[in-house]
Amino acid sequence: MAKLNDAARRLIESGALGHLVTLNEDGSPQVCVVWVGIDGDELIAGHLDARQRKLANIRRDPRVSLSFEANYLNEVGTRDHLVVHGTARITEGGAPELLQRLAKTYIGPDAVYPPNPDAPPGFITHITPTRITGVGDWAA
Amino acid sequence: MWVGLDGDQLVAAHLSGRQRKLANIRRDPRVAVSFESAVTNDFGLREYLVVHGRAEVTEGGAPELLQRLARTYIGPDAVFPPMPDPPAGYLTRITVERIGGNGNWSE
Repeated sequence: MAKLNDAARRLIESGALGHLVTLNEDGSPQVCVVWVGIDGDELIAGHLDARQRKLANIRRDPRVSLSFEANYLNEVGTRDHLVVHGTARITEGGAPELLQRLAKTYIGPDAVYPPNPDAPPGFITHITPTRITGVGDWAA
Repeated sequence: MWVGLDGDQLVAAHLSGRQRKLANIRRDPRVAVSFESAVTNDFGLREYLVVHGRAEVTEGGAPELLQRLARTYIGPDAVFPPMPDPPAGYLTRITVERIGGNGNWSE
């Protein structure tokens, strides 16, 4: 397991979107952009829709990568970025509560999300980091 | 990474030949590139573009492409790469096969 340092945690909690890569059945990559939270040493994301391809991909092959752009340029003029490689697992329920928590960061402190009051319990993806790369204060 | 357009292809430049992505592409050319939009939709979600395609790595031309892209990614007066004698490097050319994401580009 790899530990997220304080710089990595600050970036994730700043509202940086996660670009989540999963693997399709034929080995090709699937990418989607998701809200990401921190739960202890894990990263978590919520999904209302059970039919998402990423959920099927993770159940078949739990290897994932999540990348985040920093909102500043470094001294070379390029943007720092964090890549978390890890192993994902999916649990049922809790998506509306997690999305409401994350909406306060990603939309604003008064955001109400999901917009549908009867949102299904959905699913949560939990990612255990195994390797941390990218360019920034989080990379070894 | 920085990405440019060359006709219907996406192009990116790499000064170092040891990057893992180059070895990965040579072994399996299937790639996906995602871009965040500056636009937030009516639900409060940021739009984004995903381009799925096939990549090919060619030799040379990296400093010239990086200089061109630096004007967009850093600023109109940017000089990049920062070193005086950069290696010729490599280009990745991506032929678009499928467009995804969430925005005016997905059908």
